[in-house]
Amino acid sequence: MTPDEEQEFGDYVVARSRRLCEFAYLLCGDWHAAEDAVQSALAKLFVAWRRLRERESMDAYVRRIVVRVIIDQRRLLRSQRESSWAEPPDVTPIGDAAEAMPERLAVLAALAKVPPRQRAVLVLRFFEDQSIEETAEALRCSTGTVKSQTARGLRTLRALLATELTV
Amino acid sequence: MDDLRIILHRALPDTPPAFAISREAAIAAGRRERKRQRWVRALGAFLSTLLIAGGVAWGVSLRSPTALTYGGASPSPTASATVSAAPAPSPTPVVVANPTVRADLDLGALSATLLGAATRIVPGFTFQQVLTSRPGSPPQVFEFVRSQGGVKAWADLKDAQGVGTVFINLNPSPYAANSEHFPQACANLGPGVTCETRTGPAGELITIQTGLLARTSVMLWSVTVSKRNGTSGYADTRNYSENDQLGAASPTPQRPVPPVTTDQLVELLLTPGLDIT
Repeated sequence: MTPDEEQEFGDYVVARSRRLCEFAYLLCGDWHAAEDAVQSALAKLFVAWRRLRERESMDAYVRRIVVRVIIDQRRLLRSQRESSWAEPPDVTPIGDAAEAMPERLAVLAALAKVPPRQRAVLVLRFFEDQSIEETAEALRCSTGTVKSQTARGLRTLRALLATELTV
Repeated sequence: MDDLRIILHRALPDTPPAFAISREAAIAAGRRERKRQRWVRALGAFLSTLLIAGGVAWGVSLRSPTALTYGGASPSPTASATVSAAPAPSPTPVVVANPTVRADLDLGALSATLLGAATRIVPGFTFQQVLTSRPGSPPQVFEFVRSQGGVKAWADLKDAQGVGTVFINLNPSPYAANSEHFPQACANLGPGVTCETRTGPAGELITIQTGLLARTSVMLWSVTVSKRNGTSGYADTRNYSENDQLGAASPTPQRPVPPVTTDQLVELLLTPGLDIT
């Protein structure tokens, strides 16, 4: 990578990384995990920078990797987790969570219960304002899958939000 | 759907934690990733080369159970060049399809390089065409012809002491795989066969062997050189002429020793420009 290209890449990081972290945060509900995922995606973007800048949207590429990293992490955690509680333990919110509005926690809790692929579809479509085709490309699936996942995700999220916000 | 947009935006923290991703950190992480990918690619290439080399070696061992071939490719189909009845000296690096012969290989220029080097390195001889090297269309003195995935060249060298044949064979062969086998290059030598390994000025892997052709008193000296660029050279010389005795059941010496020393063979193979990859 030439110094000019590194400068371009650096400008892109400064301009886009916060928004990408927010996107990742909505996918995983953990700010540090979100930053890790974006960091991994940006490192891959650095390697592919010259190839990509000619023909593809950088954001689409990074979002695709972020989604993959987070879904893979979830899969890994699930396979390593023992999870033998009948009831979830009480959680004492710390840091920004302690100051957060109850509504925000309820939305996050509801989002966390939506299956990962459906959550990714919802966040891509309604937070990132991606079209069905762009979402399908980011998730490497068909547009039909995006439509069905959107419908299922919305149904699940609405049901969960109704429960979370009334509890 | 606007309500969902609003809900998703509400899920974001009002005051996000301190931001850890900076321009410098991202560039440093990118460089690390690039280095990691290069290592992974190099490792993959190395492992596949090993796999191919192992497969070829296994195939070769299956095809020739007695494995009496001495040195590299035989100079001609009928000159089997076997040494004693000894077990395989197996000095020749495994020859595989990767690396490949250069697409724009100029055989004329390559032959001129070899002939020029031979004239300089082995003075005082008359060079003669080996008519039996390729029945029907014998190449000129030290003229390379394509054969068995590489190139070959022959010449008879004659002086007052007599005549002997020199044979050169260049093949594409992976340096990394040859390097791994190099420490064992002199293992399992047959009776009467001497073997020596050296490293050339640019890291070339050099193996030198001397011995007698099987059941004869004819001397056969050979040199193998594996270069970092993937060109592997084999050269041998014998103290009889293939023009005169090719195919003879028991060739007899036509001079006291081969016309070229092993050091001269090494120098020939290390000639700059004698590369096919």
